[in-house]
Amino acid sequence: MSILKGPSARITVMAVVAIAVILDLFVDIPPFNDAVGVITTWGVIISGFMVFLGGLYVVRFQLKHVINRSPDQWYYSVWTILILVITFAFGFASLYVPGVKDSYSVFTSDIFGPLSNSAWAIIGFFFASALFRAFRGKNIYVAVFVVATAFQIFENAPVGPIIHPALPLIALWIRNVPNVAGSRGIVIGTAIGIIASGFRTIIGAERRGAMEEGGE
Amino acid sequence: MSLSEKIVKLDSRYVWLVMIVMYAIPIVIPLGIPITVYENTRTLYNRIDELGPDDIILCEYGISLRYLSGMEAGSIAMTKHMFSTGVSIVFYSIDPEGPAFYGRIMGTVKPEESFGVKYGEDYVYLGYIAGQETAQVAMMRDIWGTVSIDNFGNKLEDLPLMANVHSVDDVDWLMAIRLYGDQGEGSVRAYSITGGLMGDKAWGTYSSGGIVATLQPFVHSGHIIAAIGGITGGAEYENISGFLGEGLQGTDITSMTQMYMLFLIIVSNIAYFTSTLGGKGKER
Repeated sequence: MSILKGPSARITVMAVVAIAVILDLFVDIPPFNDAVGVITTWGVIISGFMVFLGGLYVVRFQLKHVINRSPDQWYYSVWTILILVITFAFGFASLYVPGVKDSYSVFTSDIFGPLSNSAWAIIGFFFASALFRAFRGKNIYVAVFVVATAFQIFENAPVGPIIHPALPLIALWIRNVPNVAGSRGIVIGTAIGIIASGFRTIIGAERRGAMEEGGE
Repeated sequence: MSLSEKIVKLDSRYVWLVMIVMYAIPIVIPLGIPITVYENTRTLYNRIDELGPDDIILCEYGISLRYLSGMEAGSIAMTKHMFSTGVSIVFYSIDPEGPAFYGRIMGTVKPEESFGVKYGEDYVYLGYIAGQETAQVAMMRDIWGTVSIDNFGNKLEDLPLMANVHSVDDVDWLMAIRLYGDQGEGSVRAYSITGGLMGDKAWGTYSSGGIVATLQPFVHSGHIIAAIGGITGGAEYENISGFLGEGLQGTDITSMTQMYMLFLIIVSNIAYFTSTLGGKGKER
């Protein structure tokens, strides 16, 4: 049925669902609210499938590198696919095979967890060297940023109040006054941008996503 | 090359080497630097302390395991405090690593042994729910419609606690121990706007240190009662709750490394301006 294939159909579905969800915030009609609740639950189910789809895309992407023998890459892709398959197999089997459940817990908590933690901790060293190179008062904006960062360090580090009790108070003022003012502006500005983008999507003016798969 | 120019062009490996020393000193020689408990932490602690056996809370519970070293101690202290009040808790995760996080924290807290609570009657874990903000909204509207079994395969009908918990209307408060991919506005939309958790029912959160500043607008607007973060926030919570752990040890390392970073900033700026001004003087 060609009517269901084109981007117009996708945009129509997107628009109907979006308008319904938005109206739900302003309308208090129980059957309508319940229907939107069901749509929201469908969203959770679809999200679950998207997680699985994401895994399949990772395999597809890495498999391309393996098949094409991409230089300096293909053996990492083999390793990625291998680990993905093993993890999936363990996770799936843990639902049905009693003995496997503990092994899966060991895999996630005792192998993946420490490795993930260690990899993330390395960033601390790069952050220190980045701080050393970038936090120089080359202009007024960077200078203000550097000063604010310095005060935040005094608030975050427990030794700050010991050096001088006023230092963390200044940091808290920076956080509660200029930071809140600036963040409010960013949040409101972002929200207005999202509203504009969403409105364009609902009326079909934003066709980039729908056109990606070779629509009209 | 002058000293200033040498400092400006210093090899990063020297910076990292001193960083390692800064990490190691408090481990070898515990400094015992006292913790100052700030108002945000006190507010969150008092809010949880007000809860009792007649209350039920939803607890969004899950962080990526890579943040474990910074947030594990605080999460353990908060979890122990929640159990100590006798409140009933419905845990759930919207982070895929949430179940692993739950298993690790509960393995340390040991709620049955330590607090005499019983799974299914006093607390439940519904597992990972995909969808981020969509999942949060779904949980606010209809928990039974969103999940039919808990993380361990038990049907909700078989869990006595869930008999009276169908949506946010059946809970008294919400606590989120999580990371934020956005600036927090997604959770505010889901919990505060859809769920109605604001004002007197404003929810609390513990996250990474960097996100606390971005959540401050929502604290000031009354959507979030208090936002604390990172290892320092966790250590403050350990201190005020009395559930002492590794967080307080970690703050010595925080103090040493952050003072070192401040030193780097100062030295870098002095060297930069000295070399820049020196270069301009030579041109004249």
